[in-house]
Formats: sequence, structure tokens, C-alpha cells
Amino acid sequence: MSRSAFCSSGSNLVPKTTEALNPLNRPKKHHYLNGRQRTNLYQKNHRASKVLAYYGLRSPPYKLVWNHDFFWESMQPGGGSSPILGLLQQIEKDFGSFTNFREKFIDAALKLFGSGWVWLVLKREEKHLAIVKTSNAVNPLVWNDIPILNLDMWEHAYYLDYKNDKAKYANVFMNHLVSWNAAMARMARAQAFVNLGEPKIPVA
Amino acid sequence: MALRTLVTRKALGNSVAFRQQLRGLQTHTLPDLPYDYGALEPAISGEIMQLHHQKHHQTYVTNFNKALEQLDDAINKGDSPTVVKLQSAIKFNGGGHINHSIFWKNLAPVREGGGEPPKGSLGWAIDNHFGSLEALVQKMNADGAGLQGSGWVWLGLDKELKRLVVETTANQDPLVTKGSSLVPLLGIDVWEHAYYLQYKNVRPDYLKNIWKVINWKYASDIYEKECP
Repeated sequence: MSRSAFCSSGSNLVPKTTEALNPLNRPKKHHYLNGRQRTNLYQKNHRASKVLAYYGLRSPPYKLVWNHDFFWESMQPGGGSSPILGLLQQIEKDFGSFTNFREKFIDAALKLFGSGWVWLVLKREEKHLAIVKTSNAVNPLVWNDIPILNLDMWEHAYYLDYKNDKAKYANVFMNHLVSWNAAMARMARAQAFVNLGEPKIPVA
Repeated sequence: MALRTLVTRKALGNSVAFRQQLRGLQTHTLPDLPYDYGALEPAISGEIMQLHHQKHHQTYVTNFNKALEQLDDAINKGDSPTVVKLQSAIKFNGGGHINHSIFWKNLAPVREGGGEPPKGSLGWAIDNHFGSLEALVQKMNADGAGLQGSGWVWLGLDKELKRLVVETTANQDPLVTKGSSLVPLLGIDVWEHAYYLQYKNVRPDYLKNIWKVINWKYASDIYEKECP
């Protein structure tokens, strides 16, 4: 596990403008995951994985890398609001309304015990969207589900900016950071693997 | 007269505790720290101590009491699914309360003996079992740094086998979940909230420094009580 392997596996996925998530150009009170912390988190969590490996721990560092790469891409500057078109329709179908989905997602984030992640996934067998929680570095791909979005609920993801106020962090994520563009792209790709449509059987 | 006392404003102000006491349920409260928030600096910052005690530990206490009340309700109603469903909340919040209550006693300011190596029978047992105090510290630091996610690293005593053990537990699982005869002597919180504001992600530095404020006297007292 050389240093270069870590860097090359993900560094080209981090946008150059890490300051893009910096709230300084935004008015008033919103305080996002700022650019500095984002860069630090990315670099340091790779280092953290190496510390784990050094101590001979079982969990493969690549799980941590994958989850974090997915997380960076689940966010964008000026994110938030809500999805449109097909993804919105699917969310309304599976959760009743976007508001209901949002409530359940944040609730899951607050109810997670210990370190972990909250995911919006497309369940392959059941053919619907679901919110799942995973512990530590577990990824829902192991259950054959297709991740659409995730939110890092390890304390390191929010502690410097929000201390113990998980609710504020989760709300800021949903209101200002979540990238529905990324989610829609992933959803489009997922539909190559999961058929969500009803067959149009012609009536003879 | 008694009725009037029961319904005073003061009693009703803490309604959860009041209701619980009315039903004979034991309520738990946040224990006071035996030292100031800033007394463990520079090993652990006052900011961390305050947040850790007033926010994190308090939340465990509040949610533990809430879960116990719900459990009492469910038991009385014979609602088995709810009884079982509450177990994880009780383990998490109750464990959090238990573990942190021990943790505050495991720490002491330097001027009150924090960091002073154990003497007496515990010191001897450590040398006997681990070779030296340094070896024990190294093992606990390695296990603590290697712990995935959130949890605790413990120095425990197996009171049946009369042996010292080093164990880790995940999340807020108390040491007893690793063995019913295990008694916690020392626990080190390796949840990120315990060190992140000061040490960021460098958990090994936190572990290296916390030994300067470890209260070996408390650990020795517990040990001597179990192994007279």
C-alpha cells in the first residue's frame, strides 16, 4: 500500500477548487463544510487508513477511500434544494413525498449509533429506493444495493464545524451541499442494472 | 401535606424524573467531575472536557432515562416487541453513561496524582503480566489506535481468573460485554469526540498524551478491592 497508490486512486477525483465549498461568499449564518476541512479530511483520512493498516487492522483501507470518494461526489457547492424529473418521481413513489424522504434521511443520520454512514440506495431485488445506515466502513454494495447518495456520520466529518450538533450538520448537508446532479447521474446508471419501469403490454 | 409537596413546581419542573420516581424507577443523573474542565490540560483541552461532559455524557444520561421509562411501560403492558426493540438503545445509552462515569474517575490533574505510575499490588501485577508498565501502555495504545470506528480500550481484571486483560469494546459497549467476570480498571475513550478538536485525526498522539493524566490510584483501589 504505497503512498502513491493512495494518492492516485482518488486525487484526480477531488476538484481543484476545494475552496468551492467555502461559505465566505455566502451571506449570513450558513457555515458549510469548509474547503480547508474538506481537503484536510480527504488527505488525513487516507493517512488514517494507513495508520489502521500499520496497526494490522483487518478493515481494508480501500473501503474508507471508496466511501469518502463517493461522499465528495455526493456534494457540490450550491447544492441542496431537491431533485427533478425521474429521480424526484421515484422518491415520491418510494417515500410518499420529498419532504418525507428528507425527514427520514435526517432521522437516520441522528439515530445512527457510533461511527457510520447514511445512504440513499436503489435496492436491486426489491426495485425501490431505500435509506440504509451502515457502521464504520461498511458499504451497501456488499448487500448488492446500488448507492445513490451518502452522508458521512463519523464524528470527524462534522465535529470541527458543528461540535456535537449532528442535526445542524445533517440539515446543512440536505439544504446546501447534497448534489442531486450526482444522484441523478448515478440513478440513470443504476437503471441499466435495475429495471424500474412497468412493461407496456399492448392490448391486442 | 405530602400531596402538596408532590405537586410543587419544583417537582413538576423535572417531570421525567418525577414520573419515574413516582413509579419507583431509578433515574440517573450526570455525575459531577472531581476537577475543573481545564485541569487536565495540556493533555486534554478544557473545551473537549466541557463538551464531552456537558453534551455527550448528558445526552447518554437523558436518553438512558428515557429508554428505561419506555422499557418499564412496555414491560407493564406486556409489549414484547417493544421490550426487545429498546435493548439497543439501553445498551448504547446505558453503556455510554456507565463508561463515561468510570472515565472521569480514570483521569486526574497532574497535581492530584494524574500520571503517577501504579504502586502496590496493581503495579506488581502489571509487571508480572505485561512485563512492564511501558509494555502495557504500548499495547493499549496499539489496540486503541487500531480500533475501527468508535469504541473504548480497557485495562480490566478478570475477577475469577485473577488476571489482568487488555480489551477493546465497540461503540458504548461496557467491558462486561466481553466477559461477565471482567471488571474495568481503566478505560480510554477513543471516540473521535474525545480528541478530535485538539488532536484532529491523530489518535495515536491523544493516546500517547492521555497517560500523563491517568489516575492509577483509582485503578489500584478497584484492583485491591477485587484481589485483596
